[in-house]
Amino acid sequence: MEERVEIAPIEISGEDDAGLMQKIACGDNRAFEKLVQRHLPRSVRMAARIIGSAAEAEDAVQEAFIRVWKHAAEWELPDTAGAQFSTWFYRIVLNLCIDHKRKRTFTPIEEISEPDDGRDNAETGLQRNELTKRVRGAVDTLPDRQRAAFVLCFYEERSNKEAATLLGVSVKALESLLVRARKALHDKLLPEKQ
Amino acid sequence: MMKISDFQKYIALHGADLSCWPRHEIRSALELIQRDAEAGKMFASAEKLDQMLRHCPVPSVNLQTLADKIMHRVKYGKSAATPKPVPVNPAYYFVPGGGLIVAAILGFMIGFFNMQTTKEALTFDSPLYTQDQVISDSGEAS
Repeated sequence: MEERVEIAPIEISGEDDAGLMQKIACGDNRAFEKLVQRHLPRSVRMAARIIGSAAEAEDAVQEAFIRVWKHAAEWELPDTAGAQFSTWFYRIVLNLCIDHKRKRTFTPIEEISEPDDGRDNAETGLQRNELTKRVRGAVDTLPDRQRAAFVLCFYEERSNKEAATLLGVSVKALESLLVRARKALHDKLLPEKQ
Repeated sequence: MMKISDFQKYIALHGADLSCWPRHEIRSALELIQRDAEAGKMFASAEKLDQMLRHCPVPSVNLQTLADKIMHRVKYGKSAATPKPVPVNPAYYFVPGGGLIVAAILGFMIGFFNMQTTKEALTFDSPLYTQDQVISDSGEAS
């Protein structure tokens, strides 16, 4: 199957990741802070989608950034056969998310119904909560790699090639994960349409 | 012209979001949806699934707090102080009550034995005193 249409990368102003990483390797706190500000929103969103819990996503992302700080000197520039910083970093986040999810032994608070916020009438609020719970539950029950592949491509709008690189699989294998994930979600969320 | 089998493959992989489909297939996919009822039904179903999935909000995180925590760990080498949760162990609920009961028993015992000792000290028959040491009312030792 052919690769999906590439999505334009987000334009980031200022020093590039590689430059910041070189400074971080020398212990520059301010460079690290810049890198955190730059990659925090996306990494947290991705982690929260994969794990399904804000608190655990925070832990995973925090751990990933601490690893960046500690191992900055070991990261190699892409010119010298190293990986792009973003590939390296998001791979760390992804692996930590999968680990967190495997270790989880409790129901995260996000899976408990939220109280009505008063903006809608009670019935609409309840329906919305119920739907959110169903969707989260369905995504949550996907096997780790299927869930990660689906989150990367559907919610994070990564290209199949990017997602495959992050997961360390071929594009074909990623597509197979996506097809199985979609089928499982369809069966769970729209069973009457089968 | 797109075959229904190809259409099925793309729907299974990308869902109803045509911007994810290969660019050169979009037009023929739209034509197929128009003329083939089965393709139309499949597309509508995929669209419904996508809408449901998109509806689900991402669990919210306070980014500034998290950034501060990370920077704190980097600067001071450990996590920003977060209060530890109180252990949910029913045994802990009895500790203050048990302490009070033990204190009450000890207090009673000390008071009781002190009272006995005082009583004995005031009695002339007390073994603590010999007959010689008993003092008469007039203040002279007998």
